[in-house]
Amino acid sequence: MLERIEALIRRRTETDRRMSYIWMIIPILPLAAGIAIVSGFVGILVSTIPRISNITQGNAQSILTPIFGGLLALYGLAVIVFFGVLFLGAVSFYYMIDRRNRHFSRQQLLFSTLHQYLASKVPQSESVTQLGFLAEDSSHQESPRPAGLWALLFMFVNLIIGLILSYCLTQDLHKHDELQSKFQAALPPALAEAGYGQPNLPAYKPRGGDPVLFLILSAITGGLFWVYWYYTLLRDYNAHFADQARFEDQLLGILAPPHVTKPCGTCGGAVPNGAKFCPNCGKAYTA
Amino acid sequence: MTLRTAIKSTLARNRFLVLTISVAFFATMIVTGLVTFVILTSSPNLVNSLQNWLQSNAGYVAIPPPYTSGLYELIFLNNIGHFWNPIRLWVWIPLIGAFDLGYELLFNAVIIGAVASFVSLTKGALYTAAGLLPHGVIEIPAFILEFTALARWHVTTTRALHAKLSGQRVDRPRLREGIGDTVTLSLMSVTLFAIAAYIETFVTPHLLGR
Repeated sequence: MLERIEALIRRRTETDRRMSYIWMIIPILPLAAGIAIVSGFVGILVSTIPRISNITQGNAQSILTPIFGGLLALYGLAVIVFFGVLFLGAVSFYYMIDRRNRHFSRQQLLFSTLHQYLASKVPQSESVTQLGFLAEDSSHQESPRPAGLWALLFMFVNLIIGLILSYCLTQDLHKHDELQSKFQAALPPALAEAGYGQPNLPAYKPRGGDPVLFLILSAITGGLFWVYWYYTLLRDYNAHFADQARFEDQLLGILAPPHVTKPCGTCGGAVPNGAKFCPNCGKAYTA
Repeated sequence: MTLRTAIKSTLARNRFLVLTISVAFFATMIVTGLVTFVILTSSPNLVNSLQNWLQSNAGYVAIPPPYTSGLYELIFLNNIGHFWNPIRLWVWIPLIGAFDLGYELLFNAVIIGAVASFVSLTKGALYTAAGLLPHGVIEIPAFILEFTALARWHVTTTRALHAKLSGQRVDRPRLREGIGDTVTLSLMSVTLFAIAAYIETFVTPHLLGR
C-alpha cells in the first residue's frame, strides 16, 4: 500500500498542471482590442466629418471608399479578436477545469489510500477514523466538472459563462482548501499513533477569496475586475499545487522507509530506488 | 462607538472595494483622457466643430446661474438622487443591478476623461485644473464612496439570498454589518457631495472668472 501512496504522489507531475501567466492574454486582449477598435472608429468618424460636406457626385467614390474600407478593417479586427478570445478562453477554461478535476481526483485517492494504510496499522484509532470521514467527504463534495462542456458553453455564451466558471473554480478551491486543512490537522495524531514521526506542516493558508465579492466587483467595474479575478485563478491553483507538493514530500519522507526512496540531490524530493531521474524536478539523480 | 471610529472601521472593512472601484474608475478616466487627447490633437477641425455645436446648443439647457441656491440644489440633488431616480431604481436589485452600476461607473469615467481632455485643449490645462480640481477632489471620492456603498449592498444581499435559496442559515450579524456599512458609506458620500456642490456653486465660478 505504501507503493500505491508513493505512486499517487509521483503522479502529481501529470495531474497538478501549473498554468503559465501567459494566459492572462484572455482578459487583457479584449480590453486592448476594445480600446483600439473604439479609437479607430472615432478616428474614422472624425476624419469623415470635414470631408462629408465636400461630397459631390464626381468625388463621392474617392471620399467614401477609404471610409468604408477603414470601417470594414475595424469590423474584421473586431471579429478576429472576438473569435480568437472565445477560442483561447475556451481552451484556457478547459485546462483550468481539467487540472482541477485531475488534482481533486488524485487527492481523493491519496486521502483514501492513506486512511486505509493507517487503518491497517491502528484500526481502533479515532484520528484515523476522522481521516476516513474526511476522505469520504472529499469524494462526495468534490465531484468532477465536465471540462469539455464548460469550454463549449464558453464558446457560445462567453461573458456570463466566464463569470459562472470563475465563481465555481474560486468556490471549489476555497472548499478544497478547507478540507485539506482539516485533513492536515487530523494527520499528525494519526501518524503518531501508527508509530511514525510528526510532520512539520506549515499553517494552511486558505486561498480563493470570496467568490460573491469577486462576482459583484466584476459586474460593478464593467468587467475590469475580472482581469484580477482571472489572475487569482491562475495564481491560487498554482500556489495550492506547490503547497501540496511540499506536504506530500514531507509525508513521503515520514512514511517511506529508506529502501523505497532516496532524496534527490537537487530538489530534495523523494526519488524511487533505481530511478535515474527525479520525478519531482526532472533532473538526473545525484546523491 | 464614536462617529470617527465608526467611519474608520467601515472604511477599513471596505478598503478592498474602495480600492478596486477607484482603480477601475481612474484607469478608465486616464485611458479615455489620453485617447480623446490623441484624437482631438490629430484633428483640429473636430475641436472647432465641437465648440460650435456646444455653443449653439448651450441655450437649450436651463442651468441656473452661478452663486445661486438653485444651482447648488440642482448639483447636489442630481448627485445624491441619481440612484433613487425611478428609472434607475433597479440598480438596487441584488446582483443583477450591479451590472448596470458597472455601466454607470465606466460611463462617468469616460465622460470626465473626455471632458477634461477637451477643455484642456480648448481653454488650457490651468483652466481645467481650476474648473475641475477644487470640487473634483471631493466629488470623485464621494462618487467612489457612493459606488462602494452600492457594491457593499449587492455583496451583502446576494450572500443572504444565496444562503436563503440554497437552504443554509443566513449569517445575521454579517447581514446587519453589511447593511450598516451601506448606510454609513452612503451618509459619508452624501456629506461629501454637499461640500462638493457648495464649492462647485460658489468657489469654482469665482476661480473661472465668471
